[in-house]
Amino acid sequence: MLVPLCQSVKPVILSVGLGVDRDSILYVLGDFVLSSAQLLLSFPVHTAQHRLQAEWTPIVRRGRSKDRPFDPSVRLSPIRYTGVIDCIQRIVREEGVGALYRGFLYQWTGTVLVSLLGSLARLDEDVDVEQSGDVLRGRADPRGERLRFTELA
Amino acid sequence: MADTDRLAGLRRAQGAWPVVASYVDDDADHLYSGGDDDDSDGAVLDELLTFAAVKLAFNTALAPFDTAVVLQQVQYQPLVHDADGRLVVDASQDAAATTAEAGADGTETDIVGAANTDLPALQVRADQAATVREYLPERLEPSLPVLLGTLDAVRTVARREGLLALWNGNLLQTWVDVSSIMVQPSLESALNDAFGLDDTTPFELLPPPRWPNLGTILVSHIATALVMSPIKVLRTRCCVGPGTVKHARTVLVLMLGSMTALAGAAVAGSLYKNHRPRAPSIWASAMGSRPCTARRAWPDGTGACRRRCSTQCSCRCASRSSR
Repeated sequence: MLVPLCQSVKPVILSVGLGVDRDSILYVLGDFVLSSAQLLLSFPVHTAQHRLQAEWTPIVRRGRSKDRPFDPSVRLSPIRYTGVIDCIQRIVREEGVGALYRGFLYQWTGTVLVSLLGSLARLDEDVDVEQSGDVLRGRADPRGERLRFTELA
Repeated sequence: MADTDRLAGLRRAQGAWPVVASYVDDDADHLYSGGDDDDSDGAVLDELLTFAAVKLAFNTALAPFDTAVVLQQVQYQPLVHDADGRLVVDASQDAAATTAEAGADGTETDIVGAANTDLPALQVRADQAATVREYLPERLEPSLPVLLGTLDAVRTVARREGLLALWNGNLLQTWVDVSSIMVQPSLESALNDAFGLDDTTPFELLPPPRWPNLGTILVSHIATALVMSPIKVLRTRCCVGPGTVKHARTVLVLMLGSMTALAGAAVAGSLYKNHRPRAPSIWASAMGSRPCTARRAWPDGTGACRRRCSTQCSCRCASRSSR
């Protein structure tokens, strides 16, 4: 929920809240900062999510457990996590805050690249009226020309 | 959403966005006919297939690093164990520094071994120590590696489990991505229709208040995540413990089969509206026109249908039989 919320609110904050022009370098920088902040907030939740998904609890029926082999590639927590909050709390307590951000650099690099490429592409590229939503259908433009995004914002 | 409602939403936006207004005529109702023209299905299918192909290519290229990140995230690496193998919860800064130093030289650090130092005033939480001591011999095998970084994780997995192990769960991830792109916009569109919200303007261009649209976005994402959760669990299990998912191949075949059925249904009927795939329509049509998607009722070389087709089916066989 965090990621779609941030992704939806991000352009509103930049364009409407701060009044930054979508074609400016400031927008690129703002997009980069907000994307990094989004990753900082969401990465611990993803770590907890993956830990919970990787937990294995055998199904116990009639006093017997289905004894299936579990052969993880890495060490997993010997004590079961009870939820996302418990998972994050225990990770911080037992492994340190850094454990919540293992692999962050790789994800952050990807985020930065995507953010920069998307923003740079937007700087030069005309935005097709069709892509701006059905409201701005090309057929509504009597000239049949493409509409620059600067005219919209 | 009804076309009139779409237009009403647009007209509401005209006050806030004069440039938008200048491009919309008063008799622009024909723009909101729902997009049920014959071209939409092919366009959406092309779009979907292109997205799937690009996503598969990207996921395949980045899968080793994604797998490495997942393994790093799930690995349990407590700060310090004491000499008896008990978990030290409240480790001091010295203990943390000792562990960090041991791992910094590039060697594969054994965390249990790293604790064989004289650490001052270590405390063990009594409630957890017993449990950990019970599980330690089984679960914290010293043979399992400690991954020190993303590249180290890639190297370690490739060395221990083979190069192909880095691509475990890649198709499942692609399946999640492609399915999400089908389900989430459909659900969002359906919710917008249900509550009479503007479904055509990008979120940042909407006039205030925007929170109803934000609500439908969030709800659709949450519902999509709920639906996709089992596949995500499978994918994580494939990355962490490949041997644990015995039936992953069967699940994969079932998923690919259902995806093929969805694509067939997209071709067979008029399933999309406003270039947005609608999951309920797709599933309903896929189930209703099952003989067609199974390719049993398609015309053979002579032009005759191989099998009697459902009267509700919209395929070519049905149209021929109705004549």
